[in-house]
Amino acid sequence: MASALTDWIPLGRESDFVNGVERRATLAGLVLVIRLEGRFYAFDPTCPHGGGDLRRCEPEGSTISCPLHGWTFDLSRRGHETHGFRGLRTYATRLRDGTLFVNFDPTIDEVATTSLA
Amino acid sequence: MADAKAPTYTGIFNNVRTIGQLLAGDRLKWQTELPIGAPSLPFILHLSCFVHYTPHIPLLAQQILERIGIDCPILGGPENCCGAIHVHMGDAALGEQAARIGIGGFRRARPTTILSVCPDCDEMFSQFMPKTAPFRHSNISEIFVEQLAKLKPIMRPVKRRVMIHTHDSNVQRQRDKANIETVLRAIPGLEIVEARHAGGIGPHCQILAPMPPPLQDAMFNEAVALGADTLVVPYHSCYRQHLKCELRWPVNVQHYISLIGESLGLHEEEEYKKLRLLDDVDKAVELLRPRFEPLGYTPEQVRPLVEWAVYC
Repeated sequence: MASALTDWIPLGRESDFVNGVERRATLAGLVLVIRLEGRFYAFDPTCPHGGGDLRRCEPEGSTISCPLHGWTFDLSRRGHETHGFRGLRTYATRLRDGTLFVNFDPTIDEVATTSLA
Repeated sequence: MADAKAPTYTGIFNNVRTIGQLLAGDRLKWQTELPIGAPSLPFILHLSCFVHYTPHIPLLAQQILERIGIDCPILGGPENCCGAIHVHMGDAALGEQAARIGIGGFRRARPTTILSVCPDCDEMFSQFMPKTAPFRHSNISEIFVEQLAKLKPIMRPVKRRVMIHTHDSNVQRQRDKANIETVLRAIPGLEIVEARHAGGIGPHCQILAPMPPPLQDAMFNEAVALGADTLVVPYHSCYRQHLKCELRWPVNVQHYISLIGESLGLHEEEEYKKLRLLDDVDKAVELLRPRFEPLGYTPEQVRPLVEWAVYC
């Protein structure tokens, strides 16, 4: 029987994700990770509007904005676009023993809280 | 709510959205994108970001085109940014990406012609337009000249003596200059004075490279000396820079599309000008209060936006 972490894919040590946006390639796909307001959010690397590279996103509070046209996604609301446009796909994160994991299952709603100051 | 802490992209685009919403309300109808498979639209009016500050210009443009039988839906909002903002902020690669996304959005509508009112949009889109693009992109002044035979019979006299502010830094702007003069000369009753100091610097007057005050003074002094009652500007950015000079000189500043509209009996309130000519940010915010309060904004939120967008 699979363990609880079978579908949880390790992205790296927690300390790797404390500054800005980090990009990780996994067998399940590319993902960006950002720490905002003490939480780790994982999301698609490109904006659903025009494919803007969200590594260049502008973070504020729990939101990130695409630099191309300003679409703004609230990561604490599963990527909801604040002007009413299409949302950004986000993924569950979990922290265990200092390692950050991501899960691409869209039914899982979980966001890791950082243990770092 | 918009973020007044420009110049982040988020701040700029949210400012455009909010001020545009407050000044145009529901009157200016535009789409941010067209669904795949939507009916083909022969003409599309593309609105750049900052044209949303001066909604009377696209509103009049649309009505003028309607008068000559051209239905011209608007594709606009920051979602259709041409990328000039990114270039101005030093991000040429992002600017190119934005321009290409915009061109891709046009393709969906399968148009024959995309019309822009903004010189930056003209230059960004023409720079990255594929040679195989199945539509043409041009400044809206082109269509007015092409359709002059339809416009002329419905133009009525406009009793103004005008000086035309121009930009001729490249071929596109020289063409606009010639087009605008051609259309204005077709308006009965309109007198055009020959000016020596009405030329602007670069492709248009703008926040980053405004017309220097001594040149601006010379232009308005010449307008007064020549008895011009109106300075006609070719672009919305020139309009934004020069309209506040109405406080110092007895010269009305008008976008050329407003004069075409006037000759057809069309009128749209110049909301941006009203705010600026109050010459007082607090009074401008107060004037906007009936518009922003129903939307849930507070004066404290709106004030920095007005300062940045109108009193910059």
